[in-house]
Amino acid sequence: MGRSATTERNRERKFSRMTGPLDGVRVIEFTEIIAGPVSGVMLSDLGADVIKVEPPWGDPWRDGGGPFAEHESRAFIAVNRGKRSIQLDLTKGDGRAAAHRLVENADIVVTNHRPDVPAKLGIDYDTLSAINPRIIYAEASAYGLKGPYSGGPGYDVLAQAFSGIMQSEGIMWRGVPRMIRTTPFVDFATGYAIVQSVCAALYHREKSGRGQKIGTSLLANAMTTLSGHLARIPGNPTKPQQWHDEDLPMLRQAGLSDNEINDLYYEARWFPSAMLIYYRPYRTEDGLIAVACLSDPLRKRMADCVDFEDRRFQPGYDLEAPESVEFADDLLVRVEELIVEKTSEDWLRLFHGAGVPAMPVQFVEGLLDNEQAQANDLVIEQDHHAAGKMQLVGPNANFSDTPLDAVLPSPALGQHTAEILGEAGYSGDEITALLESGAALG
Amino acid sequence: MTGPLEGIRVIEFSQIIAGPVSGLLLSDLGADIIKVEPPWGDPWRAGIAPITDSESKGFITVNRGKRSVCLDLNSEEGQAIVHRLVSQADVVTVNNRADVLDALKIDYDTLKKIKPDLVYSEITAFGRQGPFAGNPGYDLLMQGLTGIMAAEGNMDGYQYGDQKLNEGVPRYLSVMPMVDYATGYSVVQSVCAALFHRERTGQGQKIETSLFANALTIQGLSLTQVENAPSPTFDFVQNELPLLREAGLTYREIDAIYRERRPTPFGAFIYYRSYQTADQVITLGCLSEPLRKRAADCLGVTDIRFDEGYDPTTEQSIEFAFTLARKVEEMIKEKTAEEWLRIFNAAGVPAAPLLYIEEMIDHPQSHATGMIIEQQHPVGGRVRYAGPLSRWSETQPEPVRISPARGEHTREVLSEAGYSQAEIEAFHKVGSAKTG
Repeated sequence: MGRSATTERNRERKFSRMTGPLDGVRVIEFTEIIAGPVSGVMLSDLGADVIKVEPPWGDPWRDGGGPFAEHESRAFIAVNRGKRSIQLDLTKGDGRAAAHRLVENADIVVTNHRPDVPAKLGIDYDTLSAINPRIIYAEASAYGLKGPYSGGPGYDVLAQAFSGIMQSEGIMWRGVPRMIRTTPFVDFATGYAIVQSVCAALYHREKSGRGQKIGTSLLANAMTTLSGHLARIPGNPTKPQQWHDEDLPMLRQAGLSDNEINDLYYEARWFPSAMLIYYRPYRTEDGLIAVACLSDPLRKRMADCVDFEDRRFQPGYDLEAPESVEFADDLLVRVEELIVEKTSEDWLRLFHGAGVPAMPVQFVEGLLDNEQAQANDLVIEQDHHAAGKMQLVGPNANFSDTPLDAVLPSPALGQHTAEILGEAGYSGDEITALLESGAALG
Repeated sequence: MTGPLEGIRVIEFSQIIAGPVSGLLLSDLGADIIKVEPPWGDPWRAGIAPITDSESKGFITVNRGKRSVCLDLNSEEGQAIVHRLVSQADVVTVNNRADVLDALKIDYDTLKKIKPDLVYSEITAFGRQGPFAGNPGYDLLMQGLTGIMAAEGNMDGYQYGDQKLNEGVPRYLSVMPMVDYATGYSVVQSVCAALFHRERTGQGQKIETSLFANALTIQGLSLTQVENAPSPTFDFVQNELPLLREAGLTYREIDAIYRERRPTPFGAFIYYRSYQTADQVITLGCLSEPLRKRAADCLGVTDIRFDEGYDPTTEQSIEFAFTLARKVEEMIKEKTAEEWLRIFNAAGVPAAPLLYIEEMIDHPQSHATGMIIEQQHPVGGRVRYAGPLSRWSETQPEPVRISPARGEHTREVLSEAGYSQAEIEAFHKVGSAKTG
């Protein structure tokens, strides 16, 4: 198996070689589970020094999906590489004082607790900005800090449920809509949002000298990514909007079950399927491919390749007329029959030759060995203290002048407590005392 | 103050979704976004839910906050105008093929000579290296190629009237183009980090990211393989899959085997899934042991999986898990959604009602957090959609603009760039710049 260039570089480099546009920036991460930790990974990819402050029991996600040792799981490693771990008990005065001393010399604080927790632990913005007025404080909540659900707990699956993602996908499983489970996408979107906000705030601080507090939420990012569905224009009502305004209240009042409502919902929202034949997966003679033609020129090329006529390209054609819908349905079946006659390889050669966007459908497990991923340095290899050699997804951008280099694996619980306290100016004796009192652990 | 990027100017050459999403998010952060469109406009103007030939809801959604300048970059005059705009800008975003960038003279090497500290962000489909380097990329292809579609594995097809479409092949996730959005986010974080770096060092630079890179990033949890403890699904893909494909099994047959190899059968989850209550559907989201125990207490069930030394792989364990799941399903049907939410909330168990996306537009939670903004579109009328996704204590961004008509701001922007009215009229006449 060929290793990427980044992987080779990782082998030779030590932690001291810091690169990336955020070189010299220090982040204190008081976060758990996924969304907050993902932001820490990305910030570390950008070159920041990320210190993960963990409670005595550790980030609960250490026992998340795929546990293989005490306090270590695959899921934890995936969203905590690039960080150092310090273990402090913030309910103890000394532990809290140590956290405050870390914040004195930091640039960024990231939290993702329930809104009332930071103040209880002494890590709220008011407290920390009094200690370090230049601090940039990013707080990810579940549903925002205002409104009836502001205190509610937030997890990807709840955000999917609450924001309509789950209903809209409508993958029914044992009688109820199932979550999208490939990726906790709302968590990842929120992680991205924290990073972009923090970087924008760093730029602003560089110009103005001022730090600030930034709040984002799972709901905010679920909705951002759902913007396409949320754009409603009175005067141009969509079928889903009409359905929501007129049918839904009636159906609920009439006491229909959610399953019955669901069936009606999917029917109502399948308006975009007119051009479905050009943007979907197909069964070939020996496997699966996906085609993705989002504009008429591309659709025409695909029609030529597969060799069928689509009269809907005529100017002024009414896609919504009943005979148009019937035409679309018939054509769909015909195209399926045509595509199943050749192998995936045949189709991909044909489509690529004609400039039609098309790709094979694959399993995620094959990607680490994927030539494309390797060629673009997307797969890195790290040595983990408990897991040994492991492959992970690396940084997702290349910078021409400040190249990114993911070096640190995810830390053992409290692995760097003594090291970080030492850097913060605690003497050897003081560190020993903190460890003995249990205010710091590791 | 209108956001941390106030005073930053971005020239957006990118089209369709991923690139434009980055422009939208940058405008939310306070940057001035100039969208340079070809004479025929961004093809996404004719995207989903069309209003006119050059306006659609798909386009409006990802292009608010921008001004539009319409230029013909195949003409030397158009190129000269763009170069003047770039000389007065901070950031350029592109998502074209490499040969197109060169032909239009908007490649990094050319623009860097004009503006040495330029931050140049390039989105490709697959990166500039590797066997797929030149291939086009769309969200759907990434879903298929990177395993998103296969992992969701929903092959029931779409109900359309009385027939099912797409049966037997995995459905794509259609509620949002998640890979496009992830890539848009990624561009913004890179651009902001590069602006910070430029502020400290005076250096600009080129940043590349790809749909492919971000598709992998958001699947980081699935991809975490520990080499000395490989998962059954990795073993399956590496060892069994090639044989099954060679043997000519259908996708449905292969999928069934893939699903069996999952370490925890999906059906065994009881703490992180949705449930039918006596009336509506609710969702539970317990990801840690203490929360799961609280949920079990609320339900009054004993779960042997909390026992010390529990082995999840034995046949009895799996049998237990499925039996318990069925039992809990029956229990939850006995009370209404409201009752269960009250019980779970009181006990600190993460739970939420299941809503439709359309309900978000009027939901008190969306409004309380300022997540729904309302604007007037000259053609479309009132538009309501998701607003800026973060709150800032010092530099709160404000969405100021609706998405522009094609070339709506050509005159205004060229005039700001120092062109005279006579020059602008001349450009319009020959077609190198279109004034709307």
